[in-house]
Amino acid sequence: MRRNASIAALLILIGAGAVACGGSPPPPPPPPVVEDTPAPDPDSIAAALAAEREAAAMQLCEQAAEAVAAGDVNRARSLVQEINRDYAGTECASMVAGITAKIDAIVVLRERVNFEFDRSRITDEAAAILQRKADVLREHPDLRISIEGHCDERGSLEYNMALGQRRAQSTLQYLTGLGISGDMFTTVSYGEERPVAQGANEGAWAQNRRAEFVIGNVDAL
Amino acid sequence: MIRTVRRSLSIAGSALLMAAALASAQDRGDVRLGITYTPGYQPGLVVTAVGAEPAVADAAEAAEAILRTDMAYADRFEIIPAPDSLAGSGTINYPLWNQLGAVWLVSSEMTGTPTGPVWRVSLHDVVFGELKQVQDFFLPAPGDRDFRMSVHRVSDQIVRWATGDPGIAATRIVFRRKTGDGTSDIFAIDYDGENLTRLTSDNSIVYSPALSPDGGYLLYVSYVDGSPKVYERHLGSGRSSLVSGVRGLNVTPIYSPDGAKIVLAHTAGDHTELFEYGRGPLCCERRLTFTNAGETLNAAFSPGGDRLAITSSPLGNPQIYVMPAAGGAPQLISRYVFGERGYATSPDWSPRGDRIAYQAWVENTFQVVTVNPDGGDRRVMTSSGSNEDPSWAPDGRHLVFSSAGQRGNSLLILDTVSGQVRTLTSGRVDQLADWSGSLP
Repeated sequence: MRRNASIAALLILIGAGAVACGGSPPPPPPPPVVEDTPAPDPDSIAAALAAEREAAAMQLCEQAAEAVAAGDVNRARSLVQEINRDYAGTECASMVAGITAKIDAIVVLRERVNFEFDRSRITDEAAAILQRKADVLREHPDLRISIEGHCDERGSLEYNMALGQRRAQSTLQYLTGLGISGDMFTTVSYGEERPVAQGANEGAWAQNRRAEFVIGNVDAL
Repeated sequence: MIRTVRRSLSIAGSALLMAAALASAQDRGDVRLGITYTPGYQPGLVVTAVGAEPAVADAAEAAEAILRTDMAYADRFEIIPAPDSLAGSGTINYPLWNQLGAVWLVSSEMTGTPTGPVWRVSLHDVVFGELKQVQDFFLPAPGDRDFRMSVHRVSDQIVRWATGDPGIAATRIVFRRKTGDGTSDIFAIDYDGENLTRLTSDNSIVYSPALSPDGGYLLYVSYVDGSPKVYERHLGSGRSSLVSGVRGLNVTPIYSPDGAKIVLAHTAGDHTELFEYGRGPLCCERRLTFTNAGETLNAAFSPGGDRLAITSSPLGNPQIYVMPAAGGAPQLISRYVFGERGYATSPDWSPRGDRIAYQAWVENTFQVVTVNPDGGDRRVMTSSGSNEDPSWAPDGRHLVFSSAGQRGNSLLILDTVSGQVRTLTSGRVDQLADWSGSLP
């Protein structure tokens, strides 16, 4: 129920964001009302072109914001690249830094941490990743994150459910140890149900022993 | 009197043979590769053609086919084929059957009406040349959905007459089947592979199916609500209700043997512990374990309901422990074996009470192991592929487990006495099987 409410809120916010960001580009200047001059005014042509460029850029900004809100980091990044390449100097281009910051924050928040076989201990490598997350989380205390615990395929199905839960909990505890409020998180175990790498080898297993981080409300960034 | 003496002599004789066979298997010290099954003495059994009036010929034919399969799947008899020349329900020629190796003979006649066949079944002791038992069984029509189960109940009665032990025919097995990419559902199947039924359609992840002792209810775990919670389903109506939905994990629910309690594992703080509930209506949560440093889950009741076998990892790796069902200190029963990584889970207590089966990590894969409830007499029962989640049949000698190997995934049924293995399901990823008790 709470989850549904927060999803609804998220959708509303996304909608509101889209309106605020792209819904009201600066109105193009009114066309000159000089009926007697058939030759077009070069200044007004330039102004019209500029306005058109601003509008096109703003549309991209709007799409980038939507991609960020949907958590589609790759699309957001390629839109940002397009804006930087083709629309330097536009109002949208000045918004790119903010969008990029959000993209970077999402990437940091989503970075997986991995575990040793049959263990839920936070390794040094995982600690460094969680430290970076903590820096982002501190800046955005309204974020809500679901920490998912996962296992490789080698344990027993049911014990791996418990191990996955313990991995999620131990990740949560490490973050709260860094001063982040536990209220920002929920935990869920998927045991060995959702491998990210296929294959019966240590390379695949190592990738699958992990905690994942699902951002419930990107708009809180 | 004489008869009893002779019978017990032959049983004692076969027990001696078996004991000798087991001793020699252990002497070779190869238990890590799986015990060597030596075919023990199996009394010969013959099923003669069912005599039938024309009106109930269909019922007779259907019942006989099921009965023959049940007698073979019991793994307790050497099935003696009945020569056509000896067909019919006339006088039983005991000396002739004796010569053919039969110890038991099942003869029967079908009477009654097509919608209400009556099956008179007799068990004859061929060695002593006499009728041992006879009983009339009232069957539904052959097309009725309870027909097969009714015949299975007759088969179990014959096994009980002949051996004194419960049969396994009138049982079902519930399990989870992967139904898609990341989805699974609970299915049930008769012990002979017939009557596959889908019990849930959650389009989600499901776990840990367990049937109530009367077969009327199913406990299971589903992510249908986004996280793993325990539900109970009334199989008659298909209605599910939430049993345990604490934040975090809710998993491995089971019924007590009397059906009055539910034991399950759920998150407590940062880890998983066992809890007990009263049932009908659900009430009175009581915490059973205080592991703190590890996970505890996966309980299995002893047949008397007074003890639990559990999976617990207070020392890091999961191991099997036995504890009082009311709570108390768990005792380790899955001993560390040199050269194996200590990892043992998923215990199931035999309905006879004498053995506990579980899965253990043996030479880089899982195998099914059985031990005495005190941890003694450890035997590795399987040797090829990966074999997990054993569950006992009501006879305490058959196990169902999930197997994955070069031949793909399957649920297999193993007779732990004879070593006979039979495929229950194959070609799908079927796991976490739970074998019902004898269904009423």
